[in-house]
Amino acid sequence: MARFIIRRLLGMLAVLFAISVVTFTIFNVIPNGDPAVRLAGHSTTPSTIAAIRRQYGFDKPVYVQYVRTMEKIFNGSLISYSTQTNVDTEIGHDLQPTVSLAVGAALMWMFFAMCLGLYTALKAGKFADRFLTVLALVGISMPVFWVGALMSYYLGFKAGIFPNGSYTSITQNPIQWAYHLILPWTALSILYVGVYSRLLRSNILDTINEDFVRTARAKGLSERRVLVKHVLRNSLIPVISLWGLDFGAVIGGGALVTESVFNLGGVGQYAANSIQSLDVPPVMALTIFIAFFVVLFNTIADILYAYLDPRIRLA
Amino acid sequence: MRKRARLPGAIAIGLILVFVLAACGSSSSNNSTSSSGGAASTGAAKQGGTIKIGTVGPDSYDPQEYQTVQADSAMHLVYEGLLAFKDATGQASTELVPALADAIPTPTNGGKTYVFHIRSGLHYSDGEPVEASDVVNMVKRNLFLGGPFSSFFNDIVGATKYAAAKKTGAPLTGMIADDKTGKLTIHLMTPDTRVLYAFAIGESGVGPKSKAVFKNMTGHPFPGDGPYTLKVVSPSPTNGEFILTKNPKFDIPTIAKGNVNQIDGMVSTNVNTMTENVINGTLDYMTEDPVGDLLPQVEAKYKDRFLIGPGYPNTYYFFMNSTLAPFNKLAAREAVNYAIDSRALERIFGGRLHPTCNLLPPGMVGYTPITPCPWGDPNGPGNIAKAQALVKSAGLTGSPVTVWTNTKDPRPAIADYLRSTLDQIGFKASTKTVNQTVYFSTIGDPKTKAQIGFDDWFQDFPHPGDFMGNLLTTAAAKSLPSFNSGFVSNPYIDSQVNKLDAQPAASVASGWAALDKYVNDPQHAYVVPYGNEEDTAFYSTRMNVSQCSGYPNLAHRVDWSLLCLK
Amino acid sequence: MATEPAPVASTEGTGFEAVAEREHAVGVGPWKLAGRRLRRNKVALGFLVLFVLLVALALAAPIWAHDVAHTDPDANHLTESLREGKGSVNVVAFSGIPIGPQWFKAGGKFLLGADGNGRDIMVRLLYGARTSLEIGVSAALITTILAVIVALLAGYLGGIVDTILTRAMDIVWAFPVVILGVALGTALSIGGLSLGPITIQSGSLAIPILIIGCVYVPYIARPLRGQILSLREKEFIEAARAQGMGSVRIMFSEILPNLASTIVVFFPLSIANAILLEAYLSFLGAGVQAPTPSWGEMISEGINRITTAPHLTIVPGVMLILTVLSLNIFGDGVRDALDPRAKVRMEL
Repeated sequence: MARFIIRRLLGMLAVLFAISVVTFTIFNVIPNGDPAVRLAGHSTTPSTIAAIRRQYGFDKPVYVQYVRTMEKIFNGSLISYSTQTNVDTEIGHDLQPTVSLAVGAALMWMFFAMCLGLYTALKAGKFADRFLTVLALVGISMPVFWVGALMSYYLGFKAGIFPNGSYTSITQNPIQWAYHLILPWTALSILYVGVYSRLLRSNILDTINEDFVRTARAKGLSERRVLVKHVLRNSLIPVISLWGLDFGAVIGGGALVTESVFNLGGVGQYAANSIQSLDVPPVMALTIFIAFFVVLFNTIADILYAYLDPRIRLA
Repeated sequence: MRKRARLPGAIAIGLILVFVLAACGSSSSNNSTSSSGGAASTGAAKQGGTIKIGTVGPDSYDPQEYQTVQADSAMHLVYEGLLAFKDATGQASTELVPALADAIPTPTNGGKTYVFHIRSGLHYSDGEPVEASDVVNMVKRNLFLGGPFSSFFNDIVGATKYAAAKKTGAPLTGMIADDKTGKLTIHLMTPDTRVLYAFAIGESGVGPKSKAVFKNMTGHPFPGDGPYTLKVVSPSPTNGEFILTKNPKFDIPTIAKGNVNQIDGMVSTNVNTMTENVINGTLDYMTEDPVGDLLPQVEAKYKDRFLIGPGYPNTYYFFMNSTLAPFNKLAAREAVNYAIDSRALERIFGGRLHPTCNLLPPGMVGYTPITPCPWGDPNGPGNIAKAQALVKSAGLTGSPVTVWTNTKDPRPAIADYLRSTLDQIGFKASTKTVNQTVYFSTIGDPKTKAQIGFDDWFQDFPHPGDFMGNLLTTAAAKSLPSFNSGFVSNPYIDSQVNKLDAQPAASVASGWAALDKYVNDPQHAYVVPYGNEEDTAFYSTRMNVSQCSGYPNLAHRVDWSLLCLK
Repeated sequence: MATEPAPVASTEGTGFEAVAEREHAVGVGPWKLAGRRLRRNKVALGFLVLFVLLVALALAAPIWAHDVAHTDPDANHLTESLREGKGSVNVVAFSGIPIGPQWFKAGGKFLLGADGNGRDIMVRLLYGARTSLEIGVSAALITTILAVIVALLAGYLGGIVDTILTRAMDIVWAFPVVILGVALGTALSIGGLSLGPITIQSGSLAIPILIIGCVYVPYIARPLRGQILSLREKEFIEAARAQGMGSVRIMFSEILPNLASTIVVFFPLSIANAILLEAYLSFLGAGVQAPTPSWGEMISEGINRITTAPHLTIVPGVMLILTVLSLNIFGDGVRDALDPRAKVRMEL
């Protein structure tokens, strides 16, 4: 197990390194305007441009700039071109809304997906199953920005039930925190409940016919106990690994559209703004940050998977 | 051009606050109507209190590094320079007043030498004395760091040499400071009255040379000499805060002391929430215009605390690249001028655009409405038939044209209107949309080869040379990025700008007016000016709007030192 | 295992018909069984009909534009007015608020109203359907072809090729697709793309197509590679090898046909995901460039006017959802019929 974990962690570092190089290349090799010229301002003379190049290190070769940027990310001195703020501080600041969004939404979609998946599996082939399956697919087919905008308009404005976006800190007011996050959690969950409930349904249908379930039934265990202890538990194993991936992606800012639509001011929104303004320092830091969480949770999910699934553990 | 700070408009959604408006609109408008009657009473502005201002925030807390109007509104209260603009509203706010200097000097040596005297007994908020050499330090710092407005000092003898030396301690031969007597002598290479304005803008605010070191200090603002001191609580652009408090050491008689004791700047990118907070009184004023759907609603419901009008001088126009086909041909440039229908653009601006025929904006020295406008009444329809005929006779039918624009609302819509019009008059047009933060540096690079597109200019200081010099001279075309996006190079314009810049603007106003007419007459047609945008100011019910709105201030948009509570 | 020729889905996106036709030649085989199963799935067939209708609407866009609405998708009508009863009404009011749905009051003009530039929403909606379908189908083809090649090389050749390709996929996999898509779309939006002799202009539809096509490759290639790994050990492959068949020939004539059912299952789902991702990218300004109409861009414009004209948001959204949903449900039906155990992780 230890060797497995170490190998995975080393692989993770390699992927992170490759990602930082790819991102730096995308934004430095593809022509999209000289950053020094962009920073220069007004009726600039060549000497001003030179001063800026010197100040920001644009006069150095690309690989030196890459190394400098990476150094600054890790010693916390990276400064954004367009807002001139410290990138690491900014990410730390934006982490709270993103984590709040990710944790709440992940619990929410897992809960509803379990209810829905179990119910549709038990009713497999019946009308309720077909109807709910179509409904789950509707959830998958809706763009989250559209759902979010309409929710804010109809539930927030017309009905006046919920606040319209923005984030309240949990330390400031936990009730307002949850109240402000209900719509974003729901919008994000609608998408994932569709994916997860369908996956769970098909896993349950697979598991229900397996030998160990039949054995459990033959042993005279109650149907309820068989379902929960044997079927659901085993069906959840592959779902958990997917859940780890998606949770990691949301923590890393993958829900940038949800964050932007509800204006939560999280890491994803910061990423979207930075990419759009071609602000290379935050883009670099955020890419590494995002990829770190995706890969980390991917690794955790794999380890968990190996731990939970008796077949893998035995092998 | 002084920029308006960017709004993260591309993905921030404009719905939140409209809802609140409808919900609490009726009740608050009742409140405010009844209370505004009392506020109109005469007498001195009420002193003291704390107000909160919502803003998308300064782009930097370093006086030599910022370039947005939002930053200027706050920072000019913290850092004073040699001169300043009068703390007033309306046309009076364009007047120069001495600040650190005891008087505005008259140039000698054929307009090339200015001698200032620093007031004695001035101190920074940390107690250090204000010295003449601090001003030299500010100019050097600006040149060394390549600040966005550093080029304003390029006319000082030795400035380019200093910047090229890349050493903080290198000499700047054109500025001689004597700290004992407070005398500061400045030598220019050519006579240029714009230098007074360069020393009056907020970006020329000074700090003590021991603390205003030669690196970007936005994270650690140094002490200032203005009526307020600055404390940055959180520098975050999405959820930051800064506090301005009265500076007890401040003692400059020509500068307003400020009415309120404390101003909390609440930085956020969400203009919708900001507007909501002004409506419900959490914020007392906001530096932004309500966006999208909200503007007409705020305008209708909160008449007594919402001001709108031609404020900060600006001109919206289309640039045409005079070095590239098809706009290197006069006929093509004329055709666009004939075809544009300002009424269409007025709708895109939601009615907030005043059609114009001039490049110089109203309120600027030398502004004289061009009547009759050679391209037809700016308030009437475009002359499509004439434009089509011009394109056809020049053999340009079907020429491919790319219209450039940026992502800030409503600029994509403006470009689409231009594209549609160009198609109508015979070109084959497409559009290209670039993020607003990189737009001007992109089109201002000759390598981009942008043919035509969106452009605007918000004054840096109230002087017509700021428009003509930056937008249409050969010197401007050669800088990088060039704000002469059309790369216009005309010796007559160059010589006129040089000649007129040497004189105080007011004394040669008719010369500027003639040049304004020349650049867009049917023999030249270099640009397509189509309108001047109105700006807005929105206050809470706590504020005394009728007496101390601080609006319109033509240098800082709203002068915060004039604001007061009821 | 039958080794019939690979039924690659036709570009019209109705993959199943291509499959059905081939059945007769082969006789009763897995494909025929699947066809029977699919025919019993009325829900899936119903949504297939809906999808065909949407395609027909997209094809009819020019007819509507020229013969009913008498305008182009890009034409601005900012200062024009419509005659209505006795008076007339501006297409875009002086305050900038556009006209609402006219239904057939104006003879089909502005059926669903105008946008802020005075453009006919209905016409843009129909042309937007063309954009979505064009991007969806082309990107899905690119994804499928690349994924098959990558999976074949990695899965069959193994060794260093496998390691390199798997790691490369890991890298793409570690970016959430929207972030990768937006980053590439934004970076390419200024200068366009030039790879050796190929130059793509920055406004071209080919850019979003390429981006969307590429970011989904690992999501399809991974399960395919897994399948190939197990196929590689099968007897018929060893037999082919023993006969002296080359690697390339084995890959394409022995392994590929066995992947056919998986590919057919993934294809409609890939189109659905590509259409959805296009909407996300256009919403974030990194997809289709103006003035080409796109549903994502129409929604993001509409949201700015949601309180005065919510239909500007709702209508393109409903069209988008119907298209994506019909592909998802039909694709689901195909999967149930062909290969109920196939699983793919597609996400945004």
